[in-house]
Amino acid sequence: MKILVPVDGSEHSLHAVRHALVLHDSLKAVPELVLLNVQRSVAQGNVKLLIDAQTIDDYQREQGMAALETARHVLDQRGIAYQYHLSVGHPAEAIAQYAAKHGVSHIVIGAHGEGGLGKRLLGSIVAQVLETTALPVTVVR
Amino acid sequence: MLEMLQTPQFWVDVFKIIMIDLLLSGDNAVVIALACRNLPEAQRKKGILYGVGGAIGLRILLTFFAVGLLALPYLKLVGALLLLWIGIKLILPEDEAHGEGSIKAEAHLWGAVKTIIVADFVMSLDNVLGVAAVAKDNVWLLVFGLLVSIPMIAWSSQLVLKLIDRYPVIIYAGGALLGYVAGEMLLGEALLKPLVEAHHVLHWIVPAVCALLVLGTGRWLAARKAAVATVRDLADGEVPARGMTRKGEA
Repeated sequence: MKILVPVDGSEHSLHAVRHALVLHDSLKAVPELVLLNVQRSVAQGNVKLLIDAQTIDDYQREQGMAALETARHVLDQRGIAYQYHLSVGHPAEAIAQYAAKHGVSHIVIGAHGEGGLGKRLLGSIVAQVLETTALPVTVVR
Repeated sequence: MLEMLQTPQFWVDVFKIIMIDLLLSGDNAVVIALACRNLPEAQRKKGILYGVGGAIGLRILLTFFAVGLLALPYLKLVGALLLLWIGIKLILPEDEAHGEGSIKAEAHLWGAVKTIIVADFVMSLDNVLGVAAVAKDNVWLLVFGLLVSIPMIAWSSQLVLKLIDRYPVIIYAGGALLGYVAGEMLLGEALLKPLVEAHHVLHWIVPAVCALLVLGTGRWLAARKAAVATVRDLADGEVPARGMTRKGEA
């Protein structure tokens, strides 16, 4: 069983990681854990026109690794095996795409990512994930 | 000036300017931040400050330059065509998922500032033209447009980019607005004056047709290059059990 945990660095995404740990400990066959962070592309319009690809990638990789840091720390402390992955694109789309490509069987996701104004304006990623994937999804509060 | 504030036309124009500024300067801040990425911590703030300052200065200069130029015959025609193209370009999706620009993050303060100024020049042009088209000969609107764009260069986060991502309709509205404004600029062209004065109905038909033209062309071109992969992989890593060592730091 492969469990995908989308992580954006928020408190709720850490709850999701901890819940994935609970699953890891209680399932009969030890599941694979994958942390996934999705960065929204900044390579649009003038940014893409002016800045070289390497610099954009470095920047987004840095942001993505920073977003994964606390979640990885939680898993590192337990010393269990896991994978992580960084994608650039629309979060829900990237989550669904990774899940389909890599044989994910279950998604564990935090209830709220981007909070406040961002969330109100952008809508919930969770709702979009539920729409785009047919996999079982556990929403953790 | 005070009476002007009470006319609805003034507020409509203000709305147009804010919309154009939002759509055309959202990426300015991102470019500045990226160009300063490799500077040492202490210099990064300075680089961003100089970059934003340069962007504002350039914009003021270019705006007055543009207004002066637009008073010459034929140039409103050229300006209107450029605006139509800017509107279409706004609607078009990116060619490929990868960047193609050539600016690298500089490790030296002055190198970074230099790149930012060059980038600012390119980024200000479309914006300046849009604002000048809305403001026409109204200096107050022009100054207002400049003032509004300043905080957007300095502080605009990725929120605009995210909003566009979530509500693509914003892009179409923006494209239509730029087309409309281009149409208004066309009407101001001295060459067409006799024609416009003879047929008053042109006052709304031309902007409307230009707005539709941008929408139609944009959609048509967008449909032709659809189906580009929008999700890209950036890094992969694997951490083995029990090991605190991290492998595969990409």
